[in-house]
Amino acid sequence: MNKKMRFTLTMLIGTVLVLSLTMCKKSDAQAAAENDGALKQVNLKMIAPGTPQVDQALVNASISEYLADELNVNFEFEQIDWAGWQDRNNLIIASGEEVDVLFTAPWSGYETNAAKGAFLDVAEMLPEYAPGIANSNYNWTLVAGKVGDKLYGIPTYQMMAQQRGFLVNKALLDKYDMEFDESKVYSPEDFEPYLKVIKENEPNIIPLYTLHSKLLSFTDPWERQGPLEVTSIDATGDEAVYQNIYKSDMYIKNMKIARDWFEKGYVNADIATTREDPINMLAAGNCFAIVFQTNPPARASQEKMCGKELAGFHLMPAFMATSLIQGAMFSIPRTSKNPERALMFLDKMHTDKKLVNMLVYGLEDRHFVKVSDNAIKAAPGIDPDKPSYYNLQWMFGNQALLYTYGDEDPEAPSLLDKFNQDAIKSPALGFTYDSSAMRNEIAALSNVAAEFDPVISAGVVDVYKEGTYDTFLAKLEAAGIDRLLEDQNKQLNEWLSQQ
Amino acid sequence: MKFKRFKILIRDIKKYKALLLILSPPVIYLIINNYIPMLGVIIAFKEINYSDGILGSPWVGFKNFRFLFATSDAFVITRNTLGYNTAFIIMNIIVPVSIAIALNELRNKWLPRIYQAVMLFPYFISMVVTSYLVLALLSHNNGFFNSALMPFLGKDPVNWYDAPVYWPFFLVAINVWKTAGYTSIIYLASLAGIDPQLYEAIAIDGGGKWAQIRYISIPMLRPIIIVMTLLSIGKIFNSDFGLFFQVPLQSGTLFPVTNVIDTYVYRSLILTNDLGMAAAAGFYQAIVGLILVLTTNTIVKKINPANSLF
Amino acid sequence: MKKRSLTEITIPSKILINLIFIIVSLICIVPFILVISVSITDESIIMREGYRLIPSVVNLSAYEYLFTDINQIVRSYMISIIVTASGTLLSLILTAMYAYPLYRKDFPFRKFFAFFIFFTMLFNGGLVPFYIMYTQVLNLRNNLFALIMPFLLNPFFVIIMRTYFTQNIPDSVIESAILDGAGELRILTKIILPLAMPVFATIGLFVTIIYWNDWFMSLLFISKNENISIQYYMYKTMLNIQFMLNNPQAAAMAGSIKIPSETIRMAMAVVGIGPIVIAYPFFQRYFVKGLTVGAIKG
Repeated sequence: MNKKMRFTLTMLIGTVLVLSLTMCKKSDAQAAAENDGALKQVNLKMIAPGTPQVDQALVNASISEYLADELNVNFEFEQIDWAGWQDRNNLIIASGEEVDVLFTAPWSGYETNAAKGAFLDVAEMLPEYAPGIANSNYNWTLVAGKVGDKLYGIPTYQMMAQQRGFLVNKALLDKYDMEFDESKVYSPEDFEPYLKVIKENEPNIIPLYTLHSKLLSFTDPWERQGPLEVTSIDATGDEAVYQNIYKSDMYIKNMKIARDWFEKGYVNADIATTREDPINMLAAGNCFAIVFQTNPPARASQEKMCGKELAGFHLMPAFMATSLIQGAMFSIPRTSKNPERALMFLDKMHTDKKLVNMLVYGLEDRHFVKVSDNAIKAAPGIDPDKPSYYNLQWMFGNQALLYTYGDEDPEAPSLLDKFNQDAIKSPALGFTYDSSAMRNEIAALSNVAAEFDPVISAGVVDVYKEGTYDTFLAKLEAAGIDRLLEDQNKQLNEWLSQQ
Repeated sequence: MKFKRFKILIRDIKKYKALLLILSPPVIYLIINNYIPMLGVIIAFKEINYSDGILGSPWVGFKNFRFLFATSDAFVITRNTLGYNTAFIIMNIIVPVSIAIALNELRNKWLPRIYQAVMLFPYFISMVVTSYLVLALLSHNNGFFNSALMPFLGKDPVNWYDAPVYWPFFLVAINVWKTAGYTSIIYLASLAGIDPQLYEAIAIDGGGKWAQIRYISIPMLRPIIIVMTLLSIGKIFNSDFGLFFQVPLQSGTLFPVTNVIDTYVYRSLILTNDLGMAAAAGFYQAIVGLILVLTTNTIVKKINPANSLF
Repeated sequence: MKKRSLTEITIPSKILINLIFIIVSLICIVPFILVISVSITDESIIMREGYRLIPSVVNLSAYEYLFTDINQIVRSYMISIIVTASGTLLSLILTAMYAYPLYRKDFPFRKFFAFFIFFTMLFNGGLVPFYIMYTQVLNLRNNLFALIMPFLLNPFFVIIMRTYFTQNIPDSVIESAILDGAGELRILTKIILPLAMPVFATIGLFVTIIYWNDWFMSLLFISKNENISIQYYMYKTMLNIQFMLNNPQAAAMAGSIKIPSETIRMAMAVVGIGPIVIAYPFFQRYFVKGLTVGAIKG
């Protein structure tokens, strides 16, 4: 059996070796082929998370056909259900499965996978095979896909900035003649009078419904850089420096507010245990406000989802951070046999309006019909609630190229553009932390955070009186938070000095 | 000497070639399905990077094991894992054996069948759904305990998910609820195979029901009880992840009594998803299990060789 | 009226035992009924009042929602049934083939093989080598056999079966069969099998449950919706929720993905459990059969 295993593994290594050799060779061969003006047909496999679509095979075939002249690929796009995405994504990478274009993001292990060499560095290939991306008006976002001078991921152009705060049921605001200025940024305590009115007048409505997880850190503009959220950078601040979130002034202030609100009954009493999605509660009219993204460009879809008018009480200006740009990226895994073609495809996905719209909305006349040049609606016979093909709008290439669907605001694309451009840029924008030296610290800190964060941030107990807060800080220290901060700031400073 | 042993081996193989032939399909299956992939344990001693592949990645000795012992949590998770598993092993003997014996005594044709089928139901309810059901009991606002049971007992409502003292009982109770009906089937099958004449023999000698249970049922069940216990001991460092992760709703206050090795490892690696560290944890659990089983098996063998695993 | 036999228990103890079992049965069945009631309760009622054993407002919309894709549900049930039935049969055969030689006291290699299988219970190489084996060596991606193969031989069941053989089948039965010149395969099928019906039924039931409840292999190996089992089809929504709650960042990205209501989650649990609840009575018949055969031969 040893022999058998050795055989298997040798085969695996062999494949990798042969692969890397053929890769070098291919570049030449391909260059030659391109001179002749014809590319050999190859398979191109793309994998991303999402709900598998009924008509995927049909769309895949149409895309292959559409790209026949320029790319000559046999295109296969496989969507892996969210349920299986984490496992499958990890296994695809760890087992060396052959994939040409793979979705990645910080929440799909981008940073660790890049550090472990799962993706190809396409920095040098980019100008030749993806001039559209290299010269796009958002090519500055590529910095987020870089680790050092290696380019591992191509960010999709989508809503790359974020604004967070309280999302509010507008009908209740109107009912009590309350209002706030949606162009302003407030502090959490400014929200208390509104909660008070609801608490006093609406016995059946919970003023603020939220999950314990990240109630507080979510109300602050943390950069969310790195795999762990115990340390972070204030994305709206001037100085790029990692700090212990739980020791920050912002956090300590909010912690007191959370406790105060919990005691006054402004927050759901089951905050520590609930698993009800707050947006469901808002939609059902069971609560007045939730902690959420308040990005104005997202409002329309949020209102559609809740079936009611909403208002955003911003707790921070819109800001842009590395991890938000990285929120949707495509990488070329090192197992790809045709990285050039994969990159050419990515380039198309960023520049070819028809292709992006096919990936998201499917085929014209079958899945959608045009209403005007840039607006479409569901094709006759397609149930808009259960379409046979409809994908996530923010995932593929360049969202700005999308048609508007159904009753979407025709101004949506320009709104999105403006939102991204006006956002405050994090002082560490473009920096990606490599955590590989801190594996043990991260393991220990993750456990400490899982144990204490819900208790600390939910406001269910008086963390000062019971000494929980001090225990927490002590345990963080014992778990090595200082070593992590030191490593993060060291890398960050090195990066800053190279900018 | 060596040659002689070899000759015996050849003779045995020849003599038992029919049995070996019968064994070969499952053995081949085990090699493909278990033994070849088992070579992946080397991952526990490597720092994997994908550019070098699994075999080419550098060896790092026991570095991947360090996170298991690095913090003060190591004691808590080891204590909890061992404590709960010991409790589960004991309860999973007492309760299912009692159920099996009692059911076996009910000679009624239909009732035992219905009881047995019904007691299997909890086994079909997934841990996620179980966690919802437990929440329905324990929810602070409208849970059954706080809205009905505690007022009935004249007590104040309790914030159950913030009260670690109760959880060892809850977890053991949930485990018994879920598995007792299932495990009792094994014992029931063994009881079904007992010759009724044995009971009659005791009865004729004037032995009552208790004597029949003590001298026939229990001794007949003993080998299977011992085997089940030995098998559980092998898994004593592993735990039912869903029970400890889903059911307490990850409430931090409960960690001192709900955190076990498996949940600790899961939380450690959810962000970095480190293959080496995951493999190290699995290896550690298996080695401890193996040592404990070999020890217990030797003791069992000393007492009664027929009952040992191997 | 039959006279009470010597070994039967007294009427009062019978009543007491029955009483205890009725209580235990209630504890086991009430939560299950609760799951069903929640699945047919109006969602807004649950958000306000929590779970109720008897729904105050009955609402079947959760099932309507699930059954809009009736073709997929029927198909997934078929997949589950095919996988469970063939898997159980194959697994019983392999388990018996391994357990029988281990039971034979004269078989000189039994200790080695007992350890050989027990070892696989403790050690495994983790998911990655297993996944490589199934997808790259055996090439079982999108193949139904990938759902069957992983659970074919369980050390736990082999050892239970061996223990049962040792306990309930006297060596003399085998010895005389060998003297009669019966081959090993014949002994296994013609003598052991009928004598050991209760243990075959028990393990058959357990294996059935394992196959029916499995969703992870579908997650790993099946990428085409038409070939996923009912359990995965139902469970994946639960997993989606789990994923979203554990990954606030991903949830923020996914945004438009709506987490289904609690009633739908419970309805999914009910549909997922499905026909497996009737599997038990099917196997139960054989417990009794085994008893009578055992009584005659023993």
